[in-house]
Amino acid sequence: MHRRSWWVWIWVAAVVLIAGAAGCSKKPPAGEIVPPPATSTQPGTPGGSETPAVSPGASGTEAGQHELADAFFEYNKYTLTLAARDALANNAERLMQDPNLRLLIEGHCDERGTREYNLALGDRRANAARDFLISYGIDAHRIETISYGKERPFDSGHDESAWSKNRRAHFVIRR
Amino acid sequence: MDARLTFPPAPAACAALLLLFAAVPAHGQGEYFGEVRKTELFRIPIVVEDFGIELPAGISAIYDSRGERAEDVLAQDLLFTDAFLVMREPAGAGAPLGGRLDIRGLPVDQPIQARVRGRVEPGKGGARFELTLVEESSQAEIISCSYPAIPEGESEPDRWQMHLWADEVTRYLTGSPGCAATRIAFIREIQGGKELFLIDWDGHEEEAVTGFGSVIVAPAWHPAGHRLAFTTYHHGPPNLVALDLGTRRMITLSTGPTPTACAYSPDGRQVAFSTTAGGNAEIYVARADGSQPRRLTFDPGIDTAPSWSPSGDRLVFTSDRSGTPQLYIMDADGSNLVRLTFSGKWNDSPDWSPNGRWIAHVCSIEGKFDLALVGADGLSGGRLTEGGGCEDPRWAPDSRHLVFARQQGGLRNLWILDVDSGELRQLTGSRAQTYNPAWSPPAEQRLRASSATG
Repeated sequence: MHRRSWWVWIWVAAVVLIAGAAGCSKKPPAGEIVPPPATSTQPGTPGGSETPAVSPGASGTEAGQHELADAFFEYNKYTLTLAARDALANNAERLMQDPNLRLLIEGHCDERGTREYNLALGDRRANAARDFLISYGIDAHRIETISYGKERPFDSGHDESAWSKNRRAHFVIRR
Repeated sequence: MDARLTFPPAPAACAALLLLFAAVPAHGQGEYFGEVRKTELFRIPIVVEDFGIELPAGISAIYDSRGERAEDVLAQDLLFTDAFLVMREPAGAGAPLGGRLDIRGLPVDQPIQARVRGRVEPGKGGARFELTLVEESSQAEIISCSYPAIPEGESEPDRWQMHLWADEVTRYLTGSPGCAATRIAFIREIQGGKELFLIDWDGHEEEAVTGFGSVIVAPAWHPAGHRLAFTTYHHGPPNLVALDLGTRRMITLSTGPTPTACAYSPDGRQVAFSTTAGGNAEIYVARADGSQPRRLTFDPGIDTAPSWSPSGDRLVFTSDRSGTPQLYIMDADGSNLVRLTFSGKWNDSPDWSPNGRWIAHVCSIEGKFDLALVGADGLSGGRLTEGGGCEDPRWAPDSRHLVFARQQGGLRNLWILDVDSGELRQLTGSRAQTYNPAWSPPAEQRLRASSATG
């Protein structure tokens, strides 16, 4: 008898905890407090002497970034070229050899056009690459996508040579 | 602002009205000189006299922290409006021998129409600035203003007070809202991140707002001027957030995916933005806290970059549903969709002027991205720049100036263009990439909106 009432109390406590947690999840987020930047530039004169950003180059947290080839796109396009399909097919074969690999596909653009439009275009490029891999047989749950638009160019140049390298789907392996 | 404004007697008001009509520029059929179309416009000749001839002992209130005289700050503000020919003269001096020159060193042939006088007066609560705008021919006092020479708790005079006074003078003599007491938000690549910055319209008081070390895109002001929305990657995936500049509290408006291009409605109660939540970039409208999002566009093309009409009943946005990015207009509920631009292969980044007359945007001709205007009726206002490298045009509260990013030699910085005259002014001269500007609402509107919103 004593043992049974003990179990009842455990169940009651568990139900209360679960209900409390569910209640918390319904509350709107309280908001994040953003601290002031540690180093701000001197108040200013046009022509201040800020340290330029490190050249954007490669993006994100990249484990094994050289294991999969980028797929490149034409200007303002997200359709896959033959060369892009070849690269993606090779990537798919690599992914099939190791079912534990998970993947983040980054969609990137060249610097022409506005940031907002290029964010949407980068999204489409990442999705086009994802859709190809899924159609090749890769489990959709292994793939995430993100668009950086023109915010993280591989080549920071300002000519077609640089632009052609920046219009890409880039693959980041997550083990 | 602890200031008194006195209103003009009737004759002076009439004089000011005449000045108002004289100052309204027609949108002339100018021609291109170099990279910007320039048009000669009438400017109101105005004198800013030296302030503080008889300073009370111990007061050096005419200088700011950089040794710049308060009257020089005011004169520069008036010059930057592009509505005035600004001259500096000692108080009480007659017309200079050899003719007058404006502060740019250009001769002034027209008669002076107005004069700003200022002095420091001792008072019970401390010394005060007494500023007066005088109509030149009658010497009638038009408006006056008084405020503490040194703000409470400060050790030096406040540039912001001069900006506020410049806006009063501008508003009275031109009928246009001034924009001297405004700030411009922008993005700068610095120390490995793309951070949010603020700067006054005259290029001073620059400050970094964020230090995430990540990517921030597309800042947008709340009409109350206390909050900025933007897309940030600092938690990994992009989120659309709103940062309160006073409390520094940041709330999430949308987690996307890829939520961006936020624009507050003119009443501040709603946000329009783009997200690929439905698998494709579409325009959504939500409450200002991001709740109750409603999808407005349903097209397989990319729909992004919404901008509200001043009345808040329509939106202009970019869509590539025709095959190339073009501007479209729809009602705020998504109905009555109309294509707005047809010339050129790329029309994007629209911003509807506060007076509703023009929609500034980026257009690409032969691969070069320049600024252009189009009316809400589709009537072209022409191209504003040549030479390419221009992006992100955003209107000032006066619907006359645009701030935009301009790329020269691979480096982007912010410039301000007077759409009426073609005058171009560099706002930032950084060696770091600087772009994505957003012009704050005017100080008067900020005060009004913040009191309304609490």
